[in-house]
Amino acid sequence: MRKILLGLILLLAAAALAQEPPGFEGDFLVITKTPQRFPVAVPNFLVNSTSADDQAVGQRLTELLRQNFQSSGVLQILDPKSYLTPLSSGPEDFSAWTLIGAEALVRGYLTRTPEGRVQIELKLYDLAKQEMVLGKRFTGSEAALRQMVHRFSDDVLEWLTGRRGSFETQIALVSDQSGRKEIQVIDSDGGNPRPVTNNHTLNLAPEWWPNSSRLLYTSYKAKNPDLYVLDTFEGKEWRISNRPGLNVGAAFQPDGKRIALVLTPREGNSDIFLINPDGSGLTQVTSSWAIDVAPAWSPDGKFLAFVSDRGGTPQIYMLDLSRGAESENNRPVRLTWEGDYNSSPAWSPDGQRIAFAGRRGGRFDLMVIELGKGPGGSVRALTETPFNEEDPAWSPDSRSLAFASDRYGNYDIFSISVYGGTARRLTEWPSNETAPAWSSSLKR
Amino acid sequence: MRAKVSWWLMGLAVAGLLLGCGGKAKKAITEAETAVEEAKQAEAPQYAPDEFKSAEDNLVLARDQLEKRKFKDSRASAITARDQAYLARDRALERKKTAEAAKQETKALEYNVPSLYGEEELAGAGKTATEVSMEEQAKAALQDVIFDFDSATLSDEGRSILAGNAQWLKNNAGLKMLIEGHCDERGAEEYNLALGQRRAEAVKKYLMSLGIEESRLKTISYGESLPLDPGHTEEAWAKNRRVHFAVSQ
Repeated sequence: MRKILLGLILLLAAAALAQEPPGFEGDFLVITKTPQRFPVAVPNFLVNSTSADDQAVGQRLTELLRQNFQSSGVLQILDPKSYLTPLSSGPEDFSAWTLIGAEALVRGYLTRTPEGRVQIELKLYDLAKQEMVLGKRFTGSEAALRQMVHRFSDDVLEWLTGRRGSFETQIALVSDQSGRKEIQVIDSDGGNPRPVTNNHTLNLAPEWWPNSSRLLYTSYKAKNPDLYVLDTFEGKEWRISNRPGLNVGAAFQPDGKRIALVLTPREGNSDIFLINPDGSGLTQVTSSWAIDVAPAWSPDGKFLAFVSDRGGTPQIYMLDLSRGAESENNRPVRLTWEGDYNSSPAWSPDGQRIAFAGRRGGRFDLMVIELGKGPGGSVRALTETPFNEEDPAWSPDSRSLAFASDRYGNYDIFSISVYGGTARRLTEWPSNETAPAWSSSLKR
Repeated sequence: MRAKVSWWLMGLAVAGLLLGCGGKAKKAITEAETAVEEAKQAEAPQYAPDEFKSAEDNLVLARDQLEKRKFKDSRASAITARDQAYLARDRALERKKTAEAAKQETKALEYNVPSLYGEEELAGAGKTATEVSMEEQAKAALQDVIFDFDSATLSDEGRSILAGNAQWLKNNAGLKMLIEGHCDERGAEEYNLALGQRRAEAVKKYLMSLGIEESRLKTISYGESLPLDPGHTEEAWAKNRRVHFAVSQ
């Protein structure tokens, strides 16, 4: 595989340049250099049916596969116009694919079963080995098939890169569609939107319970911003914190043992506390007479990044929890020194960086702190648009960031690969969608 | 003959005088009754209750005095009743007009003033008329306090507004208030929730320093979620960085 790759690199570079989709001006965001994009051919589904509906489903699933691979940032979809092989269901002619530079081939087949159900088969061929390395067969509704395409996309990424993708995941968000603020959930590609809350008050700051279909969020339904859990699978909801004042910004320790939470027990002054997932066991973590909000855990659960205005303006700080709560001997470290408003820290699941929203020239841009590069890490901007980019949230594979942006007037949710490229617009509603929270992978 | 005639004349004159007095009183009472009726039509019992009651009382008195043949007193009372009734009518009409204009304004305001828990409750579902009118009075009397961007510090103007609000709260000792902290749309939602809480607490603290009991003051922060002005201009933002007062349930 490597040899073929090296041999074709020039040709691919040209193809890649020609194929980069037209981006939003100034959208180009690169967190880390792409190791190497795998050139993959994704021909149209072979549809063994004359039904126009089935043909259309096949086309949509093909598009979904291509979108997923393209947005992954680690695969390069070869231009379908360059495909030499005519559509056929006979044995694969591998040389026709290697000739155009493909290293891998993803084939989709769609048929009607005798019972009248739609069945798809998805296959990944390693063109160097000239053999099928992954093969899956699914039957179901189009929505179910889309989910299967996501799962297969994750499988493909895992096989090609050694790391699973984040396609079969969900993103929770806040929408003001109803005139209030309600929590909704969408698939990682923006599809299948579904409401989570519907209490006609304010529901804010969703957060996923690790490896679970449960969501945490703050709701005003009982006339105070209290913290609730909703099991989206069972439809059950319960309250876990209703202390007077704020109960907001819940962030789960990645091992699921504790929740960091903002409370205001001292004359309305906000501090960060820890509670158990059942609401018991209150421990105070920060203790300044400043605003301390927006806790974000390091993946090892030893550090908390948060926002504080103890230095006069909102800045990102980091506290070493392994040394206990804030004290004379355990002062939080300030991580951001530029700009007068830095907020919404999000620690990447691979532990390498903290994304945040920084106000520059009156607008928010996504920024990142590269950890382990000198004391406190190094900070740089990820976006420099004339719009606002806020509320970063990492995908579980650390390869993508979801964020809220008002580039189309109202706020929508976008996702973008850390390897750069164009942001993928996940919501296209006329309302404002903000505060995305990316679920853990549903599988593994 | 002459004497007889003059006696007759005298008799007539006296009768006339007597009748005249009684008649004038009766006439005045009729006029007062008409006036009272007109005042009633103008909803004076609701809008000018003091004046209307005075008119009614005077009318009752006039009738009583007429019965006791105190014609002069009766007429005077009736005239007072009539004048009071017309005063009641005019004041009622005027106040009704103002009230309706205010209602229109309130309605427009209600449309604009974001309230989280629905129109039904604003309209006063499950509340007595007094409670509703107290809410309206509170709404009219208690002004919002405005803050600078990313600040919970009370300005001189804010403090003077709060002094006025505190006075009103002292005059309406039974009421409990919800102090709502709000922010403009700029900035992070969570930070704004904390900032709104801080603004509400700053106002609460100041009201307490002016002698308002803590038990009457509850705070809540809505962050940036309930803007008064949905615009995206400096002007809109300035309106939205506020502490608002609502009667607590």
